[in-house]
Amino acid sequence: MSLLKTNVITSVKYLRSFSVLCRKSNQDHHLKKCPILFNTQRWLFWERHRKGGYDTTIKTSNWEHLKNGLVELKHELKLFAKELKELYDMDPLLIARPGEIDLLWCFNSPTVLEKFVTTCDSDHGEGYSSCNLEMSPAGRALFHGYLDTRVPKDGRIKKAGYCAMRSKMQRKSFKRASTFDWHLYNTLVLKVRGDGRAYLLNISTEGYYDITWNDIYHYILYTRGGPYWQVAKIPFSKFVLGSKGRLQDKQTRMRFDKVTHFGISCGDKIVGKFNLEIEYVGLEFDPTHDEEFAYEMYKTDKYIVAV
Amino acid sequence: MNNNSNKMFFLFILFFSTLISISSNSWFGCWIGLEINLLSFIPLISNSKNLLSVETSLKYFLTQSLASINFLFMILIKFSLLKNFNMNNIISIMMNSSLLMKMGSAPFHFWFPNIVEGLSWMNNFMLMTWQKISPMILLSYYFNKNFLIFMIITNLIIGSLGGLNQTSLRKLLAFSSINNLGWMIFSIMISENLWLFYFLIYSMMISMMISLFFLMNMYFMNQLFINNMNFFIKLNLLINFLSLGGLPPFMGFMPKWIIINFLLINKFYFLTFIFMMTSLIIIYYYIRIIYSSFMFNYFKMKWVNLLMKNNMSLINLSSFISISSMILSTFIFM
Repeated sequence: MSLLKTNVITSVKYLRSFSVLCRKSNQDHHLKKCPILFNTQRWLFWERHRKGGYDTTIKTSNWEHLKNGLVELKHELKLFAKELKELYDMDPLLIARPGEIDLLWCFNSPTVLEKFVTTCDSDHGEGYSSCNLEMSPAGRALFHGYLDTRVPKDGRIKKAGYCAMRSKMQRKSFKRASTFDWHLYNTLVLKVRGDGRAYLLNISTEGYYDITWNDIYHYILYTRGGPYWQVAKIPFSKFVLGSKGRLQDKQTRMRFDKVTHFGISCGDKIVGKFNLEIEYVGLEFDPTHDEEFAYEMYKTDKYIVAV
Repeated sequence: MNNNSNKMFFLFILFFSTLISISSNSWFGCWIGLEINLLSFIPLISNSKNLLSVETSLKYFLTQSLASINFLFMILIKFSLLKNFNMNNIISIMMNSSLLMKMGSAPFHFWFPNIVEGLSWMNNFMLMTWQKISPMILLSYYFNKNFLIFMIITNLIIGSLGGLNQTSLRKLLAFSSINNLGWMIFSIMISENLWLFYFLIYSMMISMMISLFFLMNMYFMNQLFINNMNFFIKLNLLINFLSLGGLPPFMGFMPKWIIINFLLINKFYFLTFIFMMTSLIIIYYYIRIIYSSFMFNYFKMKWVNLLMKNNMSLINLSSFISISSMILSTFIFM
């Protein structure tokens, strides 16, 4: 009798998950191909889409594509010529001197802001937060907005409330994707002026295979609210590996030559405005730092998989 | 190391597979040896604690299995079209191409620096030395002379020009390995004994370099300049690099000298010129590393102290062998 009962229950569970799959959302045009569902279990490690199913392509006709391409051709050829010249020079940066901060982005002009993209949960109808990245009155980048943890009432989402800014993919000439090469450095340096909230620094190392597409190294940066700037020097050993937001049991070293994106996000579940002023983001080599990993790892039992 | 016995098991199968491949009397046996080689090498290189090594082992598997499939298919075509001698040229080119891809020779070399970048030094040593044996010998069984000469030229040029802009020591040695493959392919066209001689000396040189880098845990060029290296370690680095480049009076000059001798006997004058010029380019980037580490002392830090007390004897011995082997080798004529 009990056996029958459990069978019935499990089949009902599966039915429920399938019925959620069939349920249509209000904003169909955003999520046609692969709906994002947080209520169901994920059955596969395989990722179909690099962007997690969110349809972010801008639809243009082939003729417009051609025209846009021709406009960019000159710029791309110049970039290609620059790359060839670099190859001819044969003088790569061999060493990073200690005490020197090599800046990645110095936010003193609006052109640098174009290298970043802001996202928040209201972009695809998953929340009500808003965010913006623009120049502040002090002449620095200001990442500000309003974080709202209200959940939209169409049942797809369980939790809401995030705003993020992320650097665009590094590109070589002709839009070939490339990565940052940070093997000379071991510290990330940020000069920020926060509002007392905690922000998450994300270093994304998308690899070649889909298993690592969502590998992001996180670090929680606690900011001071005062009018003074703070220089945060964070060694890479303090970053923790997470995949799709879930911290991994098996932590591995960051692949410094495969870093694809750097981003800052705000998701500390406190409803209200947030303001983060950034002056620069840079890298440093600290020869005195010899920590490999800041957090203790435990020996797990054999039945825990993948550790 | 917890799984040392696993590694020994797979190493044994690796060695055995190469022997199967080279001593079989059928092309199928050769292919079987290559497959077992691949299957036993993958567990050696995939270390589940490191994401990069897992990705590397997957990339290695894909490229090598592609080459194996090619090889097997060409063998089957060869068997079925045995009577039609018009196809000999094409089939030999295809078989040689698949074996060249197995070795990481240009123009099929694009996977090689990528994968070498993801492996530890000991795995690199296996990849650069032992994994070259069976494709080389299989190449000697059925090669197309003109095709291979063209491949030699591409190997030399890509090996020399590719290493010029590198900051990673592993990629540098990878391109150096591609260049040395050019020398090795020519030597195997002359005779297997000559190839064996070149290969043994090359393996010895590479083993000295890799053991030095392994002991000091160095993977990038900036690590060469930061460490407070002992004078003897720097001297060993100098000797080994110059030996690898083929400069007399070090050990590395001997095999290159003999190959140039055979080149000139067979009247390959233009090829000799290319061999010389590419060697020069390679020595240029070795010397660039050496003089930087010797002369440009970036900073001497008191808290970084390289303790090499236990391993000094090995380093001294390897330097001694590199310098004196030219002289010692003349004793074989006594």
